[in-house]
Amino acid sequence: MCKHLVGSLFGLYSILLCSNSYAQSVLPEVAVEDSAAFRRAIISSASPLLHFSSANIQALGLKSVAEALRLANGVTVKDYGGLGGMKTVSVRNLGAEHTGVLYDGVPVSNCQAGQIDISRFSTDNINAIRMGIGAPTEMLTPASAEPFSGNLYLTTPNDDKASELKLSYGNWNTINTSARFSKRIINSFVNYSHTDGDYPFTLTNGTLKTHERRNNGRTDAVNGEINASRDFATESNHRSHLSAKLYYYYSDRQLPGGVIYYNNEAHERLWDENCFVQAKYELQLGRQWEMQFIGKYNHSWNKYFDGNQIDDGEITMHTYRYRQDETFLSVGVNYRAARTNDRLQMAVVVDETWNTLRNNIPEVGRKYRTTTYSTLRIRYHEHWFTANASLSYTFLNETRNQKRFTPSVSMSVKPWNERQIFVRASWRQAFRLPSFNDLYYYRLGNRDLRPERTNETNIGLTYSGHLPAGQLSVTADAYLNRVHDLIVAFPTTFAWKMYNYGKVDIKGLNVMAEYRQKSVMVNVGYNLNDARNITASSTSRYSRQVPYTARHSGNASVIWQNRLVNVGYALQWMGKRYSSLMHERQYRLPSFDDHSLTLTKIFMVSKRHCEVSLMCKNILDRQYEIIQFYPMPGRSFFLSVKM
Amino acid sequence: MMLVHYNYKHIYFTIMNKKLLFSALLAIILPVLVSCDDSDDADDKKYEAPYALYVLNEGSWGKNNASISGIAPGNFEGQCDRDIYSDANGKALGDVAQDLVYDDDTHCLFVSVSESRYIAKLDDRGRELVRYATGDKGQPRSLELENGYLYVSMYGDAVAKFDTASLSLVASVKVGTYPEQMAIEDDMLAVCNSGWGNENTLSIIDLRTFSVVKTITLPHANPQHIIACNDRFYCNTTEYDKNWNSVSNIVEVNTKDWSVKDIAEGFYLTGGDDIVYIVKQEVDYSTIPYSYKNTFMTYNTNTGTLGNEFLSSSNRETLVDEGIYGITYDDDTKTMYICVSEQEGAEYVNSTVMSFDARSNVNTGYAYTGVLAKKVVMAR
Repeated sequence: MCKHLVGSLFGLYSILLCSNSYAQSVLPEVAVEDSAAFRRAIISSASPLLHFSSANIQALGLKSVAEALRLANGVTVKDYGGLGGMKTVSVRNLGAEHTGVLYDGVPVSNCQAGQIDISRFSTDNINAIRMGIGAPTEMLTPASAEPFSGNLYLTTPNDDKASELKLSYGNWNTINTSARFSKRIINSFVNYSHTDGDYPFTLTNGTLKTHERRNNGRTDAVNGEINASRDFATESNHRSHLSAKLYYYYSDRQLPGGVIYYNNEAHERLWDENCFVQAKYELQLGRQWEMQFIGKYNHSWNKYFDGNQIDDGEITMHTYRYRQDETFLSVGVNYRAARTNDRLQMAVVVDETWNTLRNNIPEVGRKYRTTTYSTLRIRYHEHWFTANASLSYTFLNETRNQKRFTPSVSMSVKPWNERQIFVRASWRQAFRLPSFNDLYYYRLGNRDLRPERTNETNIGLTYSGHLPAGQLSVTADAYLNRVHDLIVAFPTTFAWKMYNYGKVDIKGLNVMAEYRQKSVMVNVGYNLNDARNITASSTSRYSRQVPYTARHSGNASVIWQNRLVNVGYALQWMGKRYSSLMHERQYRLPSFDDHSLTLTKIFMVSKRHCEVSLMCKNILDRQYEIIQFYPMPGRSFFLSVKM
Repeated sequence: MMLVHYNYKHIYFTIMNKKLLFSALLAIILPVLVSCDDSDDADDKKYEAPYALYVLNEGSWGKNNASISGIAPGNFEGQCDRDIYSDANGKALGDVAQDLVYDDDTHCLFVSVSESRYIAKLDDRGRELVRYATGDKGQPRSLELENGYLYVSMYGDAVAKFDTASLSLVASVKVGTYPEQMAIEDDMLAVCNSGWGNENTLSIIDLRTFSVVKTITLPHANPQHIIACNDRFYCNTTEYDKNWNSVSNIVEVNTKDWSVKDIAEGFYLTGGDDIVYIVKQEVDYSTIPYSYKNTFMTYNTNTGTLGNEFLSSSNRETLVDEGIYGITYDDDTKTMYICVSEQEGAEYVNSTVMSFDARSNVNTGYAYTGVLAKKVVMAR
């Protein structure tokens, strides 16, 4: 495959996605560390946008994408505890199935479980984490990203650093080693991680407080990728870029499961293997036309074993094996109307995916699904006004056909020329298709599931200004989301039970402020989230806050860089919430605050840039849970060396 | 008391004297009466049960919200003590309470908490006296009391025998796989070997020798519930087809000749006064909350005929689409208890238990209990 991708040598590198007007609302996919451009993009974006650069991620000691997103405003990470535990992302409490993930511009899919477990994305090979709430604003984003309420864009480094080696070690034998090597157009990365996962925790059962240790939590994971990337230039106005990736991931995780009172037995184990190959070809024809072609083949396999049932050695009935193969193609064309001085753009993107699911459950058999996504995007941009509109059509071909239109509009206005203040508003309808697991999981699936539909409205105000000592940016968004046919899941470690269930009304507020100075960055965020169950058939629990949704939550981070040592501090806090619609004491999860501190020392060793970091997570050793009965680790230390 | 009042000396003296005479008479007669009442009980006071009924609430798997509710005598009007175990012990009962039995002799409760893997002996207020953790012997499932012993079926493919005084393990006998409920008739204990859906046998244990003396093959697989009624055992079986639709049947096993007979389609069963009460439940899991269709019937064990003398037709109408999760018949008071599960979305929330007088069919009470109420236990 690599041979095909390495074409002949051509010239200039195409900045297809990086034109000036573009940077105003879209972040370049290439890892250009231009913080001014990022700030402008966030402030002027018609839909809320969040961004973490690799520098910030390292300074704050965030070891995984999940850790970074726990500091993201308006984003909830459902963390099942521990270092190998599943972590899923949901935007404004719309559910993890409503969040799409794109890795270097190509969708990551898991139509088996319907949600992406982001615990597998380590930050060692991530250059930027971007979270877009609402429809994708980049014109040639694959159409399959359109129905999601939010998309997580992960980009890997694409620079020419010769090589990098990183080692880290922490509590409970947590080891993480990674190496990156790049030479000319190829860069490769490999990562190995291990943890014993047996962290202590305090279990509170009424008036009984016992000290326990997490059991059956050993995790081993290895992943690697090889990237090739090349620019081609033909005649004066034609530029093109080809990038390709080969990726492999394997993990063997023991699952500690939820805490069961008085019983420490845990015998579940999960093996995951995933490999894919993806290629993206971007073509710019003159000033007016851009095209993009993406092809991807993804294979994933997992095996789940439940040894909790003791049955004379006969355990094969409790081992489930799944295999999923997906072929993905995306073709997109973007046209800039020259008569409008490029202010108006129109793009059409069509995606097709072919999925096959195989498993060892005789009653389920092989399943096939073909999905076609088509999107029309229109964008008008001036320095004081931006408007985006898109209409997407999804057609699912399976044992039952499903089709749906999802429209979306957003706009951003800058009322004063001299002030960086924007007012924005957006509206869209989104949905999510039931996954294979939803439909066919052994004895718990529901073949009659309808897609979950959402109606989302957002209005916001953003401000960016210079203060005497630094730069201040503030974004405030108020939103209203209504979910119909909500697909509700029981949270367990692996098996999911999902049904269409009524309606949820979500009203909220996300406020974020960032202050930057030459060597200091302070970021504070607050969320108000009112998510109520308004299902008609609900009786006494009508209009109650839905489970696992804190009304108040917030985060803060401080980065201080100086010659001695760089300091990073992060805080996540969440108000009280219930694990059930029964708002009784036994289902109440109290509020918590999780503080972490990272100290980094940078120095040169024979012309190599070296970094040594000491991280302390959960400094105050708070005992808390995000999902009930899945305790989070207490205070822990990590030492990492990078060169 | 002799009150001597100067002015009414004469009257008082007369009244007092009469009272004194009466008291004296009583003082002589009463001890005689009381002593006749001093029968088998060692204590003079008559036992006053704090609760007339206990309800076993299974709880949702993984949520550690199993509980035992207590309904005070004459107080079946909505509110009850929903969680007597937590109230008495300051901690939760655990995850998935599978069975509850009451010992009339010692006024103690025995509870089996399946996923938390222990059985415990509680007093009549729910205070824990002693517990036994089953650990890797497997999850404890159902309980039966007989002659001072507690029999427990365990997922380690065994039935264990415990001494009720100290809850110490006396013996254990191997049965089929995934044993569930048990029933006792004439020193014979029958246990359902469900096989997690794949087995179709009952193991018969002779309680005198505590060994398996017979294995009965059933016409359908997956027996789970079993009762003893009129010299026979009645159990349910549940089989699934390719589309995961289930068919449940009630099977009769005669303890004299061990013949096996299909009775009717049904899943929930309870019995008393020679009648077996059956509920056949069809569930549609594609809706939220799940949709139920219940059919009620009776089986006369003497005549061998099916009937519909199970509640009045209007009561059956009310209950036809409820999520019935257990039925218990009390042949002492002729009361039928029906446990109805409630759902909020896909989550099981607190249940309702209703009682009906089996003769008049009048709804005589209801209570809001814990999550997934499944069995009512009478205290005597």
